Amino acid sequence: MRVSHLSFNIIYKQMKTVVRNYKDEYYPPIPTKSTKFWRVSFIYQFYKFLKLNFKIMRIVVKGHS
Amino acid sequence: MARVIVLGAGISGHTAASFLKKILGKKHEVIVISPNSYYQWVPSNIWVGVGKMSIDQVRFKLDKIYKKWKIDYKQAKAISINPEGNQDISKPFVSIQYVAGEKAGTLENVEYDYLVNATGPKLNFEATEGLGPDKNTVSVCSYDHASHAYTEFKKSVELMKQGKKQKFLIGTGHAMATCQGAAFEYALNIAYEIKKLKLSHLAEITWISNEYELGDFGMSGAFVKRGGYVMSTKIFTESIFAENNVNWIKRAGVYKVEPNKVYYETLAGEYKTVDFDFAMLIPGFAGQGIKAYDKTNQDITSKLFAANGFMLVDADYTPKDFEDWSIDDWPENYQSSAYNNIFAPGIAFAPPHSISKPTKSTNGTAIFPAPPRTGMPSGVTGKIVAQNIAHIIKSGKHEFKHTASMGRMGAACIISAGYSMTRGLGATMTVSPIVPDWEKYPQWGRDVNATVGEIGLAGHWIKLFLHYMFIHKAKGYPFWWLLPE
Ligand SMILES: Cc1cc2nc3c(=O)[nH]c(=O)nc-3n(C[C@H](O)[C@H](O)[C@H](O)COP(=O)(O)OP(=O)(O)OC[C@H]3O[C@@H](n4cnc5c(N)ncnc54)[C@H](O)[C@@H]3O)c2cc1C
Repeated sequence: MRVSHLSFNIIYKQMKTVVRNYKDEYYPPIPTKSTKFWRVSFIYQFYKFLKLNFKIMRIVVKGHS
Repeated sequence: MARVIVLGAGISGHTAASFLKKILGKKHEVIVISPNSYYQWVPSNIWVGVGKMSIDQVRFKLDKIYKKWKIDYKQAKAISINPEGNQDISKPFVSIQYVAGEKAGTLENVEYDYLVNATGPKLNFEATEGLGPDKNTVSVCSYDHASHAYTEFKKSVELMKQGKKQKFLIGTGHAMATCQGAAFEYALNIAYEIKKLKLSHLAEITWISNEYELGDFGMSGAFVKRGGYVMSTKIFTESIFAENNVNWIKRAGVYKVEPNKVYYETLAGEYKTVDFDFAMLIPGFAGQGIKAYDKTNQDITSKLFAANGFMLVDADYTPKDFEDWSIDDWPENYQSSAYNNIFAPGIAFAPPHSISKPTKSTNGTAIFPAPPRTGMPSGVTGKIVAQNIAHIIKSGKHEFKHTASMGRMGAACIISAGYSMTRGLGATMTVSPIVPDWEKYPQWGRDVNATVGEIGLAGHWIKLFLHYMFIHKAKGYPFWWLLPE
């Protein structure tokens, strides 16, 4: 359905405007679609799994004197 | 033959007992005294709290494994320590009370040559009026609490399914509570489950915390390399919350809870309230309240324990300003400052001070996180205490071959943000060292190349992998000793 400019304005005016600005939650960085994609991309996350395990192991080994 | 008593069979005590027996063998005796007949992998309680794991997946009976290892296990709680014995008993001893079985309620004095106090924290719900699973809030600090939290969560879900809005409040339930990390993961898991049920529009989730800034986690925050910047965990944490529609209240000291209402004081000195339908608030922690007596039965509790009940060890407890704190204040071998045959690894030792900057409200109320002692340092300190005691017993030399200062060791913490093998998320956080070392790392306090903060499916896999790995290790399955703490 194509919404005309006029009907869009009518719907828009009927909606309660939520001003998100000036709230704490408005300022932090929000992940983009691609960031969200890579977060659950199987192959990329498998690579991350190995890399992060390696980083953790480095810390673990250093912690045991 | 020497006798070593380990009080507590949590991450620290169980690790200490297992290594003591492994190194000392049949020639020496190891006794574990703990009131809970189960070992529990506490970090997975978060998943019990959202119904993703059953209680039996996070715990197992201790008696079987101790029988196999030839460790004497007494299901009892320690009540007092006589480090010099008394007029009737010449050797040091611990007074215990059995809590189960035929001997329930019976008192016994158990003599020792070396004592490991790994009794962890007392969940001090009483310090906040109306707080706790018997009162107005839920907790995920133990498996039974977490299971109760899940029951309550399901009730809220049912109400949302009927179209009723629900307010979720998650965070710290005392002005000086710690363990923000656990509450953080619970908030994210709750948000994840609600999102999966497509009920997010009916849920208002709020984080309440005594942190000065989000991402402090009681360790003064951290800096991580991300996207070409070095950024604070404040940004990292706020970003995760904003993405999951979690609002937050920071610098808040909760002092009272009524049904559906939390009372808190802010650093600015204001007294405020926030309403809730479901609240999971972490209590303050204290020591277990074990007493100590000298040979003439004089109370010497304050010689062994700090006012908060944690054991005084080889830390520098001299009161100092925040700016003068140093990593050298932190203990290295966890030996009691009063008796050289007593040790306190894990959460049981008294930290020299917090890691976060102490802050007071304009009314004079201290509102800041106490220092966390997570699983890794608890396990590592349990192990080095066992190695050192075993060395002293075997060599006869009172020296410490192993040390583990929180100012030198790093820690990894995997924060679950949703349980699913294909769509789940976990935030992997590593810091090195745990206590910032401003002399060695003047810019960030820690090694930014070793400090990680990443969110993704890999984090969930790691957390799940660690769950199985640590249960394998704790059960003493093949090659358990090769697995790190
Ligand atoms: C919900 C939650 C999630 C967490 N998640 C993580 C995580 O993801 N990663 C991480 O690194 N850390 C995590 N932690 C922290 C971690 O669980 C603790 O660091 C660890 O359990 C501390 O080990 P402990 O042995 O010192 O104490 P505990 O595990 O509390 O063990 C104390 C033991 O002492 C026994 N005891 C108590 N009183 C007495 C007495 N009077 N006499 C004898 N025995 C006694 C208890 O029964 C228990 O067996 C989490 C904590 C919580 C609460």
